[in-house]
Amino acid sequence: MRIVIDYHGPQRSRGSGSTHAASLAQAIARAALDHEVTLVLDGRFADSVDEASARFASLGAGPEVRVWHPPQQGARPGPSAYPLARKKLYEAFIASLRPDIALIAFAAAEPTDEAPVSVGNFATMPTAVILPDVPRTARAHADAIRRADMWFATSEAARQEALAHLGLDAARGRLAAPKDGSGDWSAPARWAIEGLESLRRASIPRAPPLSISGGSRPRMAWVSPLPVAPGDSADNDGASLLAELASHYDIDLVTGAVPSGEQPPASAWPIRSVEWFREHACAFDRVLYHLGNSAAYAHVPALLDEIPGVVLLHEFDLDCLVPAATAADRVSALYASHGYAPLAGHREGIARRPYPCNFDVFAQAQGVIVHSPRFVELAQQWFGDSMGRGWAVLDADSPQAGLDHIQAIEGFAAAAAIGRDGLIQSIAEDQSRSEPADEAAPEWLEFAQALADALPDPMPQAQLFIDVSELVQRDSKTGIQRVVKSLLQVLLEDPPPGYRVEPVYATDQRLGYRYARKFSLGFIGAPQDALEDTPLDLRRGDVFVGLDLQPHLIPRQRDFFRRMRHSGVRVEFVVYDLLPILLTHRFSRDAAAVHSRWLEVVAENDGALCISQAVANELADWLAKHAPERLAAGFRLQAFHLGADLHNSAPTRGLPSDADETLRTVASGSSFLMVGTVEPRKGHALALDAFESLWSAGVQARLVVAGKQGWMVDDVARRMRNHPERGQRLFWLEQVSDEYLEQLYAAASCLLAASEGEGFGLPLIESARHRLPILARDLPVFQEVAGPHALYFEGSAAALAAAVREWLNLFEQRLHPPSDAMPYLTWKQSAQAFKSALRLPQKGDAATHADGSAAPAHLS
Amino acid sequence: MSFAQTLRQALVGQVKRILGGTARLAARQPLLRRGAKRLLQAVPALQPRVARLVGASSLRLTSASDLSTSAQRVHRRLRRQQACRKAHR
Repeated sequence: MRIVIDYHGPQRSRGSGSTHAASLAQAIARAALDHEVTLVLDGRFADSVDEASARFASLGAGPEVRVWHPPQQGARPGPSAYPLARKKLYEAFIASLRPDIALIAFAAAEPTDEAPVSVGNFATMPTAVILPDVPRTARAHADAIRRADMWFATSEAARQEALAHLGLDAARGRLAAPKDGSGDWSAPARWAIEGLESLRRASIPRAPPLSISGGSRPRMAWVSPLPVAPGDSADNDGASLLAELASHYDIDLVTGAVPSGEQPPASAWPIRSVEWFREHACAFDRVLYHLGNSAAYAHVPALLDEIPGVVLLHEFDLDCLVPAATAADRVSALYASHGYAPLAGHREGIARRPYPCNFDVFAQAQGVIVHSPRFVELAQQWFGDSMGRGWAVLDADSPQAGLDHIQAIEGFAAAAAIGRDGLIQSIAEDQSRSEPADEAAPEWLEFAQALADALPDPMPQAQLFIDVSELVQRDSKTGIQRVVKSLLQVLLEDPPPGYRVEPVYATDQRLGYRYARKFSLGFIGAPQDALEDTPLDLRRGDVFVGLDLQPHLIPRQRDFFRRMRHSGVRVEFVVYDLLPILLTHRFSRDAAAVHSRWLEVVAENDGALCISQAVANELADWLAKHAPERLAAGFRLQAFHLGADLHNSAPTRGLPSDADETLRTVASGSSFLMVGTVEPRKGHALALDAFESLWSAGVQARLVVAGKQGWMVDDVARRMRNHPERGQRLFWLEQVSDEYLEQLYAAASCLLAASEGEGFGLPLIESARHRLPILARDLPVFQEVAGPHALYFEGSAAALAAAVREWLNLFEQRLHPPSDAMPYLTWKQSAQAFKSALRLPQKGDAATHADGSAAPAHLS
Repeated sequence: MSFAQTLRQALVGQVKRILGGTARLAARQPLLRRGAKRLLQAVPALQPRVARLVGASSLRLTSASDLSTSAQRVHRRLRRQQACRKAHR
């Protein structure tokens, strides 16, 4: 038995564990070992969602928790369909969880206007309620309580009060109270479960009411191209099915334009145009759409989007229905069914084949009828196992084909009646009876969003949201943005199996994220006008990864992350480093506070993907100190390494006019190359001190600095700009494209990594790719990345000068540590490591590790 | 961050702290709750924190373009069906 417990009442009353209603509900969840329990919580009260979830988890009951977000109550007084619409949405949401029994727990003194609790206004399901400790305080919900099939009182006094004040039927009531006030709710819970079982047994499955208009026979719109008439050789199957369905339905034929020069065939049924059908659709009880792969059906997808109905699928691939006039049309169609993957791989020309662009048709259909199991196989092959599972596979040649089709259509209609389509239909009916301005009221916007969230449209794949908020606004060409672009490019072309990668962004101005569709299309070279940026549609099982670093923005989206988590979306962040916290003196005054606030939000969520094990270790230390409860709660800590191939990282291009001369000079002697923005922690001042002492001792080595000026480096910048060795033994190249950098790596003798702290150290692996030897400060992260393939130095300028001398000596004897054998990843491999570190649940996932270790995924 | 931004953030922070206390009370009192909701509409910058406490939606929806793709479809269908039904009454 599947018990869906609506816990909204106890959830809202603080100290919920102390009320009897809460105690009984919790005890039922704990005692229902042989049953499946789902807990429903009200997402508007986010703090209490977490509290209630934790409470049930601590009981060991472990029910599945579903959080829903009811629309706010309407602000306007007067007659309105809105309050009833909220109640119907509540019932539709509970019904969507497929309960055998719905059990609603009320709390004492529950505000009447808040919870749209409802029984028997829309969906029919066996329903029981747990009365509040003081039942008369639930008067506002008396109507719902009276309609329930069973009610539980948590004390004899409460039972008596319920009978006296709420006018309940005594025969439906049960006492579920501990004996002698013992406070042990396990026995009452067992009695209650026995009661629920008996209610389930007694509940005769009732078919949802069919809304049949104007007579005993349902009216059907048969939407198909002409000709279709009995005996017509061109469409014998369709004609005979039509004749058989006509035994059950009053049928109107709806058709697109009749080919010019042809007359509509004589027909036993009225022939209607598509325009007529649009205006009269609500007069029909059933709509049957025929769909084949020819232009004659081209109008059907748009019609199906407006007017729900059952699809009879004659062909699987519907590419002829996709408007092919412009690239934007093709992009839009491909994206809807497959995301960016087919677009990202076809920069030179966007082709539809082999990708079938039919998902929207399947998603919008109330049901799909096919005449071959092959169509189901194809649907599952392209869109996953859940697609096609509910389709009706019928034998068109069977003697009872007509009856089979009627049963399938009625089955689909019955399911739709208590789902999204039926709800919209029912509410529209209520609206049409309410005051004229009602449907234009602003609360209906929120209602539409709440309905879409509660009863989500199917998606062809789960979504992997990648936060690119910074990149959408500007490409400041930092190392982090290079990482974002490199990973994004690979992920868009090669998403994890079963997922579609969706770049998303937020702004300071409003709560919530939007799809970065225009940015993404531009990023992969597709026409940007094909898609719009809209707010996210969240689904259980989606995953969000904060890939871009936006420490100011993320805390402002804190509530949205919580909403995502409550909606069943896993939320994780890429952590590049903790440097503003660990090296506070090297950053501006507020950087540590900003970074700490950002880390606090990261810690509230589900996990972090660190760009090195060293960062993962630092983060673990930080969590142990600042948020140990998150570690105890299973916060995921994973690490992956970055890629080294600049040419596959959406590189910037361009060389300055003096590039050839500079490169020749760099290549002509011993040149030590420092790569990265000039900022305090990078060690430029230390390097300059060391090289000045070397130069004064007659050492001819050059120091080449590639990177623009950052913050808090005015002194060292002045020193470098005015240095007497500038252009001789000191070079500062402030504007270096990726293309130029590649050539500098090739020309230099050694990479100098003097930084006091790094999250990873991209220049190390980029050097290794160019077989450029490495002289690095002895940091854990550099040891992790370069291992024995570099020479290391400790702390001071004197130590660095000595290390440079040592390196030059070793180099002369060809005894310096070469970087040739240093392992590094390409961006493609890095993206693979990133995907493995995410450990996305998927069918037959061999990459899912059981040990939960935080080892770099590519090393495991 | 500019001086103006810093000042604005500090001011909003102060007001939030004051109203945070009010909102915690409001969360338990229907009358105060209604007042807090009106305040939210008047001062959008207070939305996330206060909204969380009083259980109001902090996702402000003012036009159909604020809706997700799926909700836009719901909204479209609702309006279309409502118009059709009105025409057939």
